[in-house]
Amino acid sequence: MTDHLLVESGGPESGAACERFAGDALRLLQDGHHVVLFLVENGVTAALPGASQGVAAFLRSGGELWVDTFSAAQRALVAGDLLPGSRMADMDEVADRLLAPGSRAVWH
Amino acid sequence: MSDAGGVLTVSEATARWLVMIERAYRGAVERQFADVLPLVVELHRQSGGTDLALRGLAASYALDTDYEPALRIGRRTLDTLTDPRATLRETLAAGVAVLVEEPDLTALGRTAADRLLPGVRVIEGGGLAARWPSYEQVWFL
Amino acid sequence: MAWTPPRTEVLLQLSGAPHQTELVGSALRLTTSLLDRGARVQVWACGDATRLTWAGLGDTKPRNYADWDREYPSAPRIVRELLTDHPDRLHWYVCAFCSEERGTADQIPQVRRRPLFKFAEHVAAADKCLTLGVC
Repeated sequence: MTDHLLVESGGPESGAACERFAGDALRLLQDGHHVVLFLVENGVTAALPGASQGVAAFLRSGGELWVDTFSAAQRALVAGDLLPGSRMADMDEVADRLLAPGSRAVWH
Repeated sequence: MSDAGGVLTVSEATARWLVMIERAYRGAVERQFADVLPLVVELHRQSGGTDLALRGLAASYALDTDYEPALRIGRRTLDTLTDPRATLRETLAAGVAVLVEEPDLTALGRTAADRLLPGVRVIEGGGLAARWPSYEQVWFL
Repeated sequence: MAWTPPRTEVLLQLSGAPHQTELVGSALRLTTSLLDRGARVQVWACGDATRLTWAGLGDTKPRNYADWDREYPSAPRIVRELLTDHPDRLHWYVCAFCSEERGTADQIPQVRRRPLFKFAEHVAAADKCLTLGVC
């Protein structure tokens, strides 16, 4: 099992690519890896209910969904409006995860 | 439809140009004040009347938030980031009508409609195109 | 002996263009967080991201007609300050081919232009490599 940090920066407005990437996160999860999906920039809108089936499925399947605090505030999104089970996270936590020995990261 | 600025009907549209902003958040660090939103006031002045429509994620420019437009980069705190809400307030004060379509507003979260900036007008989904013939120019910027 | 890139914990390949998304802000925030943790970081800029350190932009942005006396730092200045504050732990490289192709060959002196065919050396010199955006 490997720790994966997947970063989604485009979100639903970027088209099908966001759903495909959420599908990648789900696949890694189903293959037994530990996966954090970090939503940043416009990607944070994928944490709004109904915005992304892929992200919701990832969360239901036990994945960790992190939402960038700065990006959410910049877009006037409030934590209470986001998918239950998601949590706000800042770039320091992303740096910690990136620096953790053995972890892998992909930015999309 | 809106309790903030009232419904704008086709016959009320007196501006000559309509600017649609759909792509939002294009680089607060590198753009700072030089963003597309301040351009609208200048277009309003030159045209004799410009309306602004915020579509998609750009509708979030019209929401009140406690966001502080500043971030730390190394030892510098960059406090000159793009500030869309402050700019939108200035845009409204300049007399520009600001429109958002209701579905874009509700897509931004359960509480989004409660946080609409005063003066922003909400129109029905798909209602912008119905207004296009009343303008001389319609541009996506 | 030929120059080789210093070892770092992280390589950020910055490929997305400025003025399009919030990618530059994200990259600089992540760089700051990594440096705060004592990590060594190298940034390799490709495509239009080479414009971030283009000398032609100067130290400040053009004046803001709506706020005439306020100073707005340019991207090259922001990057230069970050480099100056972390001389041994932050390195900024610019793809020589991209900078020629995009008209940004005149770079600030704190960054190093590197030929594209040396990119794998930088990947090998980093524990982790993250590519941000596309060019």
